[in-house]
Amino acid sequence: MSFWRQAAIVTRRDLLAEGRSGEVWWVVLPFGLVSLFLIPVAVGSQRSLLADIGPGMFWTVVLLFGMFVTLRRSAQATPAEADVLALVVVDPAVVFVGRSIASFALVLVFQAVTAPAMVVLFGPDIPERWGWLLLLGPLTALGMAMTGTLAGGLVAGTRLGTTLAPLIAISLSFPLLVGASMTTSGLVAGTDILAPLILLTLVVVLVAIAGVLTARPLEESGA
Amino acid sequence: MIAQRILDWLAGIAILAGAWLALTVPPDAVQGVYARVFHVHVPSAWLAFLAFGVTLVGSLGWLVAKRPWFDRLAHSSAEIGVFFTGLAIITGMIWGYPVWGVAWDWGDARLMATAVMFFVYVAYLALRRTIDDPDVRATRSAVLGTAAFVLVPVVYFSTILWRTLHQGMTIRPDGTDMGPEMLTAFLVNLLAFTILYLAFLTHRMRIARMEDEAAARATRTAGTAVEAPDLGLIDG
Repeated sequence: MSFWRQAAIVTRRDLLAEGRSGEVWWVVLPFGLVSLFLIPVAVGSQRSLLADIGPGMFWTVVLLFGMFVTLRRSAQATPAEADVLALVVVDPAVVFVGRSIASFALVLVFQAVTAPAMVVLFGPDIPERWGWLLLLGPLTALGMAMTGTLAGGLVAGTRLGTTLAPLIAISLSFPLLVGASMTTSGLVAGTDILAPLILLTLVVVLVAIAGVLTARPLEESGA
Repeated sequence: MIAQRILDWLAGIAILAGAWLALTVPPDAVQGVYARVFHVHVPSAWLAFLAFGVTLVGSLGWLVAKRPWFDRLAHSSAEIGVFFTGLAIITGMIWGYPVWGVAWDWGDARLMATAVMFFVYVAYLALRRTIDDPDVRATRSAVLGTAAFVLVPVVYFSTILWRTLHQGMTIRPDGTDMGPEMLTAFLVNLLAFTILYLAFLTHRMRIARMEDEAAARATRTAGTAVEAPDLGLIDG
């Protein structure tokens, strides 16, 4: 069976597990929406201020809650599942890729629901070159998905893992937040967005390389 | 042991010489005496980059060779790197308050990126404390030590990528704006801090080796003290 076929099976398994648990749809997503709703309550109802901070708040919420999506319980293999994957000689890189694709799809769903909510609640200026956002969203989601998968593997089975994983994942995702928010600001202001887009792409590529190359040692360590 | 003593003395003398030069160099034309913080701030930031670079080397070394020495190198260097990153942040805030008017500027890319780098390596040290098995601990932290290095070039090039409040590179390929006296004091401090780093690193690695030996001894002692319970299942 090919690498991608195996990865697709892992992705399907993760999405089915998520579909059954509903952790993202029923818990993380409403929590993210509530947080978007709370921000205007906290900072005041001045329309121009809300329009200015809206896109930045959106990316912050996507980063924070997107990490809960990538670190959801259904994305963590039980010891029995890990043993089965090892016994049938599935390449750990396949598991990393498959799990990342599942998280990528779920973060995209999260973005797709929270972005219109942000536009309605904050009323930001819609950039003329809005088409770039269709690239920016998936690129950021991909980086977050891989970072979260990597962080989940690092803390699997450790004490305080549930507390430590978000700290690792969010800190490592900082360049993604910077790249995404700077690109959005550039689009709104009509300035050049090449530098932040390159930064974003570079980080995504580096995390992908790190994730694939370190998948085997992580698996051997019991992740 | 003698080499360690020599290194310790050398570090002490170099730090004293650096401090004396930093305090006696003429004040900066624009920033006055506040610019003296520069002689601690920049070498601390340089050591943070160096230390995290060494952590990367140690992490890759462990992943390839699985020798405990590499893990000790990565761990020891990360601890020192976190200390010097913290020192760079604090001295930067002390310097920034009189010069910029604020100790912390949220819009400054260098400040923000450095703070995040600090938290990632704090997480690295936290991760090590949550795992008991030495091999698992070394492997997991090696993976994080490798991935975390992504932030180092982001921090280093942040003043070029984003033109914010923080000043650009002090010494550039085309030269420097510093006067000869200030440059000499700066270079002496840079060397002194580097020697101090080496002294700290060798001490910390020695302690780490002793910790490993103590842990192994404790395991062996427990192993000999515990006997299998006699359940009376075997005759005779």
